[in-house]
Amino acid sequence: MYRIPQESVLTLEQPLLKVVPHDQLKRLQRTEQRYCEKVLGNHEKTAKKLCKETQQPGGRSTEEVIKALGGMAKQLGQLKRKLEEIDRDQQRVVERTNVRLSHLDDLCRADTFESSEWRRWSTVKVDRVLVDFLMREGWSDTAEGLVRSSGLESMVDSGLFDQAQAIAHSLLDGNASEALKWCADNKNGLRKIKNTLEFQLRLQEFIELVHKGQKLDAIMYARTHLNPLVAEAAVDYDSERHQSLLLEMQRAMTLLALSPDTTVAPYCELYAGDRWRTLRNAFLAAHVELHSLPLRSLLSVSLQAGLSTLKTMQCASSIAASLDSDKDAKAAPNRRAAAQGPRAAQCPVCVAPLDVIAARLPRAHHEHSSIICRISGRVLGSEEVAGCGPNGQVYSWKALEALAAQTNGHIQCPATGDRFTMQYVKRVFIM
Amino acid sequence: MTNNALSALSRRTQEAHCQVLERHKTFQSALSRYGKLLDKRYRLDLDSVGDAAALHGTEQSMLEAVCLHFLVHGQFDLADKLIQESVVDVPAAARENYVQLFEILTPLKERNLAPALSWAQANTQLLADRTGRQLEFALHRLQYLHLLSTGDVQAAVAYARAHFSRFGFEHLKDIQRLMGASLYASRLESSPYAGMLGDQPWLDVERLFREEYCAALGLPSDSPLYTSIAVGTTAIPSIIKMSQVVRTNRTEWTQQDELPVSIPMPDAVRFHSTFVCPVSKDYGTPENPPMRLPCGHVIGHESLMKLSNHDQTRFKCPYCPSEASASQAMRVYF
Repeated sequence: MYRIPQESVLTLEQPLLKVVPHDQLKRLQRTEQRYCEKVLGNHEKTAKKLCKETQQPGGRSTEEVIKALGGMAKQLGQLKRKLEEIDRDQQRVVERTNVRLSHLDDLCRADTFESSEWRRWSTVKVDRVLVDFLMREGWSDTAEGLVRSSGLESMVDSGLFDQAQAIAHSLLDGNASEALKWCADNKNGLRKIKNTLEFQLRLQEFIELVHKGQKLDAIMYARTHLNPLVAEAAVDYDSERHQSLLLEMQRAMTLLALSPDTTVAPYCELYAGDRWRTLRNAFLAAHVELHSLPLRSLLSVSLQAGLSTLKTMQCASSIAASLDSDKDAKAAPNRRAAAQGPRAAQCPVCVAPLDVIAARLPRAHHEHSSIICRISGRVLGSEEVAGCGPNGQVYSWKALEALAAQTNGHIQCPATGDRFTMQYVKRVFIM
Repeated sequence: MTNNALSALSRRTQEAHCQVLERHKTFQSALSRYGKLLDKRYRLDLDSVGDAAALHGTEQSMLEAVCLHFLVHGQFDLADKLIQESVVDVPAAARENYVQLFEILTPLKERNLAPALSWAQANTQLLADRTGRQLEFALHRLQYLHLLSTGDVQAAVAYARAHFSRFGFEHLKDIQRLMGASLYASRLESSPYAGMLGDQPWLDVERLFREEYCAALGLPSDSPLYTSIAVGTTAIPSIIKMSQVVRTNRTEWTQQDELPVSIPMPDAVRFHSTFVCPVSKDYGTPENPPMRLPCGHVIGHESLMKLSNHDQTRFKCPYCPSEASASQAMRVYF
């Protein structure tokens, strides 16, 4: 009997809890601490100072003390408002975390594939997978619509990709300024994950200047922007990485001596316009890595795993791959439908457009037979006894009996049309 | 006087500061414990599932699949939005089929049987070929019970006369019970027939209708995308484990015809029969078809030839004590 591997499915859910809610809590906590320390520290100092100064003869006048105290009170009021704001944000994050935890808790109650608990949980999961895909691809209207119609507001981090999509678009338009601003905002994070996006962007800006013939500007640009980055790399990264950046920069410098219509490799490639697309992809990859999200969309990963698990030798895409001529390929679906029974028609790997996606995926490995009755759609085995007619067609015993009961004992074989009665049906044991 | 107050203020500020720091520390350590726990428990990395090369160039199909998924679930506004936003397109016929399905399902959810009944009547022949008119009977049955629960016994009985007679052959038992229920028309809830009421029969009919409708039009009744993702979700952990092993052998599993290990899967998502010879572990193919021995056990043709010395000798079935010769074996089809 198949059981849902709840424990191991859970171990995949880190992005749900870690990425946004946990990191957000950490950030909020840091801001709060910094604020408190600043204001309260100041406060303590001022209070001490006031205390000391009033003790000395000829110190501060009462008016001055009152004024200072007033200032302190005002600061405290500001701190209070700020803390209240942070508190509200924290509450929101904690509520989100709770919703997500209880969603994961629901998974622990779903043990079989047929249970309504699993059906409910997996429906939410599939919606989450789709939202992730739609957001990454930039179809944010649809993503938002799905979030609203499925009530997933607390379950997904919608804003995460909005800014990223805008930047990705600007890169496709050949504009690096937005992306560079983003690099500056996330300098520390990018350094931590050893990302060289900023270097690539700067390099492209340099190439564009050379392309336009502004060679002096280009040299100035390289001095102010590229040099420091290479020098930084020497400190931050291993020497191999540093060397490769240096080489890239030297190559780009060579462009100063070559016109944009050069055919000399690798320099002609540096002038190519599709570098902007590469930069966009590099940016999106840096963005997800910075948020420690998986590089690929959940949809792509789940489909790869799911379709491979479902794919068999009998699936359309396997058969299409093994057939050479068009004629065979066209005849195949009909032949299959007639020979495989109604259950086979439900196979996701056999229907468009998933058949295209599954085409180049490996199929599942089977160590044991898994035979499905073409009448009842049930898996034959110790619980579902199998029988075959004199023509060798195997079905579930119960399904044959039911067929016989309906038609006065005369069974017509659904696959071949042969007629026989139950007394000619023999037991089949599949090991 | 002022001085006292001020020194008190100074002291209390210090105390308050300490307290706040203390609280921050507690919160921070709890938070970092939580973070560590997350790292420890949720440790599988989705990016280790294997390379995406096998899926290159299928982006358009993925969009299409998502669009169809919305249609299957009746989320037409989402499908339209996606079509508008991206460049994906789905055949108008596919959309139309699902629109029609939901024009019937939505009233059914509100307990209005009329559209479903008229569809079933229009497709009587088709339904009869498939499941022996189960759906049609289930719909009439609900309509009858509905009339009965409104207390109009005469109308209910008239309805039963008009519609049940055609089902007398297959559903006699059920019809008898249904007619028995008419005696309790005004108090069905407290009668022995109370079990016939409630939400479950309606949900069952809804599911049955969906299945029959989709089968009639050759559509999958569950969203193929849903099934694939659900199966994928349960399979990913095994696949990650597998690909870690495979990677140490320096090959990508996506470059092979078949996964190197078998992934556990529920019976509900087995759609095709796969025969594996229990002796040789080879798959059944037209060249190596499954053969049934007289004792009922099935083995592959090649194994049969090996065991019987190419039909030279009688041999013992590998799974039971009975003996047979190769010529007694019969080709079977799944």
